[in-house]
Amino acid sequence: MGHLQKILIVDDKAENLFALRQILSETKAEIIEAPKGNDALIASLNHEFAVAILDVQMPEMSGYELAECLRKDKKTRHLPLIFLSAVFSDEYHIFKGYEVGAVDFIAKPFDPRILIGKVNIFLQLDRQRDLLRNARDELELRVLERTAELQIAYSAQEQHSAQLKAMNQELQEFAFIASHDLQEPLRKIQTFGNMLVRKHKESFNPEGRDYMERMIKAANRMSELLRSLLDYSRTGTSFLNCEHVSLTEVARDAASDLEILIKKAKGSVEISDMPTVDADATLMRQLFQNFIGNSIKYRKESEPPSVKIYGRIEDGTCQVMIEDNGIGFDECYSHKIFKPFERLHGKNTRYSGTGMGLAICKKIVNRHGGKITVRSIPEQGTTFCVSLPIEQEKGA
Amino acid sequence: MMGRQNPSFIVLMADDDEDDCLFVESAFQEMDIAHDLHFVGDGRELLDYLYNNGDFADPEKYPKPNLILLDLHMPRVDGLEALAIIKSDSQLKNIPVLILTTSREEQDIALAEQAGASSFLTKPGVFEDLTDMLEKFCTAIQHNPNVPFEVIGC
Repeated sequence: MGHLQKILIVDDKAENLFALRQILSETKAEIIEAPKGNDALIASLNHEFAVAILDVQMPEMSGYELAECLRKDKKTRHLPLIFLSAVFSDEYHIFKGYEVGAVDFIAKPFDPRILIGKVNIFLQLDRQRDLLRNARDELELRVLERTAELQIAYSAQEQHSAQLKAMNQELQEFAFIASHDLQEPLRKIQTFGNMLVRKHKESFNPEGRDYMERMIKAANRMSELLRSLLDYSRTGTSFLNCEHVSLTEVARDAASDLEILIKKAKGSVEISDMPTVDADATLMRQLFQNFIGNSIKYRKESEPPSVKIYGRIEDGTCQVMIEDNGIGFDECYSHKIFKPFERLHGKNTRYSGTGMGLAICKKIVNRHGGKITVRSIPEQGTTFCVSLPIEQEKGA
Repeated sequence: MMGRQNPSFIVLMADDDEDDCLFVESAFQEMDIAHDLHFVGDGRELLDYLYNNGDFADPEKYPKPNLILLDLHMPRVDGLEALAIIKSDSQLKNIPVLILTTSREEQDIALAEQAGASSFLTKPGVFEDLTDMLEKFCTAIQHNPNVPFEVIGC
């Protein structure tokens, strides 16, 4: 703490001021004298005082009146005051009503050691207050600095996340364009193969015909895969159009979309009442379609497929269960089934497909900010659990 | 290009893809419809043909079609641009236009319908399907040129 502390002494008698200055000289503080209350007020405007020593009995403005003025000023409101007086009358009690800061009283004639002792205490207090103020300023500065740092870090992160988002979008669009444009030449391979079989079948021997059929089959398979990829990337790029959606209704719609498939498998789909959530209705319908389709496809040969769909609000999120009695799978493959093109069954089994159905489900749920988990026991059945937020942020 | 038969159903196909032109030509050969098939490579040529401009000046050689098969993605003037011009011309707007494209995008379908296309056919990968779809559509518009808009082959 660098600066010199200052003491204000106010007395109408020059000899008293002189005496005070002598006594206080050992404090090493700078002494500012004021012979009148007005001079003291002016001095208080120009200086920062650590303590003021006021004579009570002064003409024009008494020490108490001066104290009152000092207390009214914001700058001097907390200035510690020491009153010097031969008598402390009732005025002292009147003044007490205004008492705010540190105040002390010394009766005249006084022992200089007592005055020095009291002044030193106030000087000490002032030093400590100063230290405290410095520490607080320092702290404030650090907080500001840290806040600025955090803001920079945050905006860098924001930028990073925006970049990631843009890259992701680009990738999705790439998948979309690629799968779309690859369909075109493939369709020609299919059609020409088709025409070849149709018009020139006779010019091939059985081996040639076999090759031809295998080629067409492979082309058809590729077309299926591309179409799935297109569906998958479309799920990621389309605008999420959220509204209040009754999950019961969309699940029913999805089941009726698959009516023929369900009937053919002699299956049943039981849909219980489910909550209404903010979601994209088209995507929700697709979600239930894929789940129901999945359950029907992976049914046991020994019993008709049965799908139960139910849901409720739990801990602020909507939990939807899709439960079947199908062939199930070993849960060690749980992480695989939601990946695009991942399949747990060979191409030539009766469980044909492109391995995109559940990948699309996961993407739909992810895009709604939800989660998807699965429990399964081989030969007993599978239960998918989808948790969805009840509300969506606007413009998500 | 086919030799003309009389009385014939004149079809004009606008597509820059030669393979697709070949598929459609083969499909028409298998159909039981007397037809006269013409080809142009893009929207610009399609309009030149319809207005008998430039190379297509001879109306005998390039008669007004009874049906236009229109690809969406073509160089210079694309399908939708050409369609808009056709539908804004009182002389041409009654010619049925079948969109024949690889696209199955909702947006393309919606735009085609708004622009006044008769129907929207997504090119199939199976030749027999193409023949069936085209035959069905041609038979329908021969009976009634104002068939309700339909998405075929999706």
